[in-house]
Amino acid sequence: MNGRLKKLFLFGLIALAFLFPSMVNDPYYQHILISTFLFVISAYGFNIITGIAGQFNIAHAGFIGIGSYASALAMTRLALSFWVALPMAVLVTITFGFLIGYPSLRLRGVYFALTTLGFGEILFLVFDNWIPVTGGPMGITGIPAPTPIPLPGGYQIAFESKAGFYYLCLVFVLLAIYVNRQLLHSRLGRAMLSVRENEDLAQSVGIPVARTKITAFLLATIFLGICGSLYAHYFRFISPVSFTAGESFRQATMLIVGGKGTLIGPILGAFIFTALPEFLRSVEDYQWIAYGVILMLCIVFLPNGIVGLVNERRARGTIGRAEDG
Amino acid sequence: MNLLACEKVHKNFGGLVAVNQVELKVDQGEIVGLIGPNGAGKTTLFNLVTGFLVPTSGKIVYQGKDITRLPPHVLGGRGLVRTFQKINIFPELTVLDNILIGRYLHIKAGFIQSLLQSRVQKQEEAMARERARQALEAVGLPGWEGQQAKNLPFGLQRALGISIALAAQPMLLLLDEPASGMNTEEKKHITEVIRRIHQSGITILIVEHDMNVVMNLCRRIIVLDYGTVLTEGTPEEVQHDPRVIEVYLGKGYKKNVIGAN
Repeated sequence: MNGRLKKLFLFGLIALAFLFPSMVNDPYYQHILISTFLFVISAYGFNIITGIAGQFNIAHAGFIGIGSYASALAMTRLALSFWVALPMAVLVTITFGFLIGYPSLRLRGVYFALTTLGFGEILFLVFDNWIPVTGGPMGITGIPAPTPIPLPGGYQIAFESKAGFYYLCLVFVLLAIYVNRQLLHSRLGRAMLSVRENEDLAQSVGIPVARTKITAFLLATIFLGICGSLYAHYFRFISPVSFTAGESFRQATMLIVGGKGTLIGPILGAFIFTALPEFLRSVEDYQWIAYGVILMLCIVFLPNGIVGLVNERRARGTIGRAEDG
Repeated sequence: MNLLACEKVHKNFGGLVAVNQVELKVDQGEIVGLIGPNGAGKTTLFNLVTGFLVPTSGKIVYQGKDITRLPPHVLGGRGLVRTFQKINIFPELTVLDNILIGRYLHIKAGFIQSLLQSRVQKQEEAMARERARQALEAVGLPGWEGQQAKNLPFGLQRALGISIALAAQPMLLLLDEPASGMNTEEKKHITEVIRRIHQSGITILIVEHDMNVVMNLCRRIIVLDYGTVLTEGTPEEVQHDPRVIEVYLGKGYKKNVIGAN
């Protein structure tokens, strides 16, 4: 595909995404897309720290939990507007990201994974047991929808409806994709990739490895905070079971199947794992069996994900041409 | 003036003395060979000079400044860049990205500018790509830029490793066994590449097992054995030094075999 065709295709896709709620008025399908979008935002956060910078964050779901609880509590307890609660949730998530990432990312090897494994468990225990604040296993109920944005002339943009929330998520999905895209074409993003690939070599050409990893993690937690906040205000109910290590691994699988460290991989993975099973309900009885088999095959045969497979095919094509010529 | 000087550099690993009171000087514009049998402490010395290890005692001076305890990335920023014996590339990334990473220190626009797509950033990015392509052509890698580095043939991977280091614009380049595992043809090629790099004005310190490569390139050779400097001199002097012959070939071996392999 040449550049212009690619751009046209991309604009078409975005236009389609914007028109979707008016084309498909079925709230069921809108719901599926919204939950997929939530995973897409989270997957792009995961992509930055784990896919691009190569540091496995096992507390991934836990950090989404921090964003969720922070945002939910800000609205239910402090009666703040959603537009204050959202940035506050992001800020709280980043702060925890810094506290966990700063010491553990300075060390090489498995320490970050181990630290986040432990931290994820601690978070779950806190969510589950700090009953006066988090509501314990019962969670927090009655979380309001995002505060409407007033417009001149008495109009407002409301998010009570699925369509309204859909657009809110879409904005953040586009933001997540844009940030990942620019990252991959920037000095910082390349430094993150180099840290994943070969820390020693990265250092020797002047890349501050620890600082790069910490920056990657902080950038990732921004999206985890956003995802958490949106999650809380969409489902209007949160409880500890949504934020376990198991959930982190499930989302890691999404990223791996889609293609980690790439631009298309996270969105592809999120769609395959959330939208596809729903849309394939027609083969109900065999749905999950087929799904499991596909997943295993992907992990065994596509270590670089679907995007990796496509890239390899393309690369092979050009080697062939170079040798011919 | 010395570009690099090791003053009584010493490194213990527990009871093992890996580098023993080493005195070593490299002048601006030189190309110096560092040889010695396996376990002589060559790679350890490299790690000490480039900040990957901190000496037990002694001092390392670069450009007249004490750099003994500085981390590798700071030294990289001052033009002291090394290559590695084993994996010398970023395997999963494209050849072009490999070089662009080498240019990290010379691209100024940060991520915020990238987010805003500022004109400065775009220009810089385009220029970096252009220079990277030129660099690839210089080491015989044109046309490979879109390939994943791990797909390159072995010899070209080595050349890429050196190009990454060059992209960082070093003053002093430390090459750790650049010709190991290569066939004769590849060795010839890499020797030429290194010679050209030296001619472009970069000071080089090179560890290498292959005597032909070292003797061909260097005017001065330092021989390391059991962590100490055994001797140093021109290739001819070193070749005929009985101590060197003994270290490499064992006692009682008189013939000059070192340079002949």
